[in-house]
Amino acid sequence: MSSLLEIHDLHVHFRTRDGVVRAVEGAELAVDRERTLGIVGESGSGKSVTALTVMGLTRFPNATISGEIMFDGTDLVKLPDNQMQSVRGKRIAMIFQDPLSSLHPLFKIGWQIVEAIRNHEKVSKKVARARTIEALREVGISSPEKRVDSYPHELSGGMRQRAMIAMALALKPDVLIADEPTTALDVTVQAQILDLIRRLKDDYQTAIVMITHDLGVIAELADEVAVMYAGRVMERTSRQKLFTVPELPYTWGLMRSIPRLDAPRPGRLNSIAGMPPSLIHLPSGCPFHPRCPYVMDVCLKIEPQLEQSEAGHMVACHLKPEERRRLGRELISQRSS
Amino acid sequence: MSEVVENAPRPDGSGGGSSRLLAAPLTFVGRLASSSMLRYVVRRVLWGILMLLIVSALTFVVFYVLPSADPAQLRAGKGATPARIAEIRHTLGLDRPVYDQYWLYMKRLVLHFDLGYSYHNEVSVRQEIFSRLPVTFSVAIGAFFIWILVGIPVGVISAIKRRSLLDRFTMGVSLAAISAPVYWLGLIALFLFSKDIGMFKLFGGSGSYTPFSQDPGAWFSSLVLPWCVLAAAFAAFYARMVRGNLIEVMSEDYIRTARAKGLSERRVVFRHGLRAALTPVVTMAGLDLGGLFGGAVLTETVFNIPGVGRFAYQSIIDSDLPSIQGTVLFGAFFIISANLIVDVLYAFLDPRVRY
Repeated sequence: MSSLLEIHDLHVHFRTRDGVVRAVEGAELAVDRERTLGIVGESGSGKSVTALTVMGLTRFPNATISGEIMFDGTDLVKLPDNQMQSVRGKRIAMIFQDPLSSLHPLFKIGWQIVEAIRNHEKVSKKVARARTIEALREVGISSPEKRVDSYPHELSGGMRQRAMIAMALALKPDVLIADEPTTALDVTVQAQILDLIRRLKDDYQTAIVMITHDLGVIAELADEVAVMYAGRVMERTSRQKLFTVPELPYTWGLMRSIPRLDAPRPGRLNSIAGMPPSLIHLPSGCPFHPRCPYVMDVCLKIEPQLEQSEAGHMVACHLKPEERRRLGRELISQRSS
Repeated sequence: MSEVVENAPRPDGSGGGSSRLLAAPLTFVGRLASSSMLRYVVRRVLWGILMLLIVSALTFVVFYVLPSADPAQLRAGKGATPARIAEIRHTLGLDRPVYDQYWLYMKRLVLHFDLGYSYHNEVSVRQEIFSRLPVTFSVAIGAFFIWILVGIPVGVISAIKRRSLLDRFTMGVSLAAISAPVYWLGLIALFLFSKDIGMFKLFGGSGSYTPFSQDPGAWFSSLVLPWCVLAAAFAAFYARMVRGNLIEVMSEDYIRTARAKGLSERRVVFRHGLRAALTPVVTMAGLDLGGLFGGAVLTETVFNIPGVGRFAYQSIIDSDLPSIQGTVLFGAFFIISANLIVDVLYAFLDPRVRY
């Protein structure tokens, strides 16, 4: 059975003056209607590039894109630019991290949403404006008849992100890609925006791709989770499995880095030792091996492939599956005790 | 190659927090009349008047402190007796103390808008300048159209075709145009295209200026070369500025959003990109045009055009203080006004600016 959006063996490379940046290497992902795929990873792990590639927004002259992005039976990688334009915004929409810089500062938000609608559908300005007001109301903006004529700087951060979501959803897309939509917002507003996205997913039967570095957002929203590192998907499973038996040392590192409020304060916060690798000069073997506390000889030589560990749980790691599950369970019980 | 990115001066938002939300739905007239805007304009006008006072005082001081020829001696001519020179000095008021002269000058200026009479030939300076303003306007406005119509498209194309051969070529040419002195470029233009001494006798040459009211054809022909020469450096500078601005804007997040909406690249560039990239250009254009209204000294001198700029040049040669003072004041007035107009205009171009 194939999903609405499926990514197979996606590679995205950029030729730069310093060398080839291997931003995405063999990514495997899938998401269906009314489901939420969470992609989690540090900065530079390839999550945003993957999303932008789905949108066809990484087709720069210096980019090489290979693999498959199957969307409703069409391979988007091979789709010509002009046809991609009618998918972009209309069938797959995207919202971004910083809603202030992502909205044009010199145009009213209503104008910007009307433009999106009229770009894809032949409707009058009046109809488009009415739909814009409706969309703003839908995302919880109060007195949308007035807000439609506001400029982005006149709204609060949360309201701006709501406006962005209204713009993305005004055309009722099949897929909504949210690239760290709450990172730039206050914590209280974050929860509201996540609630909103969840509600809209159910109302519109949209498939959501939620990109984040925050496992809290994953726990809140995702059905499926993909953990990305150095452009690779290293662990793929359900949210439930990820938070009961995480099997990847990198995922454990991410989980340990979450500060706890209920435990005695450690001398210093936990973090994963080292830095994310350069995507130009990747380490040999497993890209995580320089930072991995469980590194073995084999990790330096051979890159682990994403393999089935249990039903519905894919992991790319040389550790023995039983060992990984034992360590994963231990970590979870430690953290929940 | 370095990019010229001009950040337009942005007046600080001194408007209160509440007016920020209220100002948005107001119309053009409404905003102009809004109390914070009105207060801002009044304040700026008062500052402008103070500026003009300072400029006029400085011109006086510079004229008397720096060594220059004695106007009375120049007026009297060679071989005049000391008594004759003293007499002239007395009629011109040059024997009074400087502050006294300044006071008299300002009094006449404020009460009668009288800029005095030329030391050189007793002609009213105000009349002299007024009769030359249309000439200077002709030169400035014509050049303005050329540099806008050339500079902006070239900048846009260079930005879109960044690093292409065309981009490198136009940016190279623009660097040359910025570097070339106007008097040199003017002479080259005359040698090449003027009707009298040119290789290709196409346009009117030096001193061929004819008022529009007399003969529009001759007027146009006489101004083509000055327009092009004056516009060259401006067009080049604007092309580089537009290119730099547009390249910077095209990497903004909101451009990515525009693309994500599925807009055509053409619309992304021309609607979303240019709107942001050209806003600071409007500011620059206003200031530059205002500056030129005070006289394009070099161009008018090279082409022997009877405008305010050449008048200023001649006044300096003649040590003719009232004429110098008059041209300086007019120049300052245009620059100060242009500044004010541009700043007010900016509030309409960029809704984030509040006064």
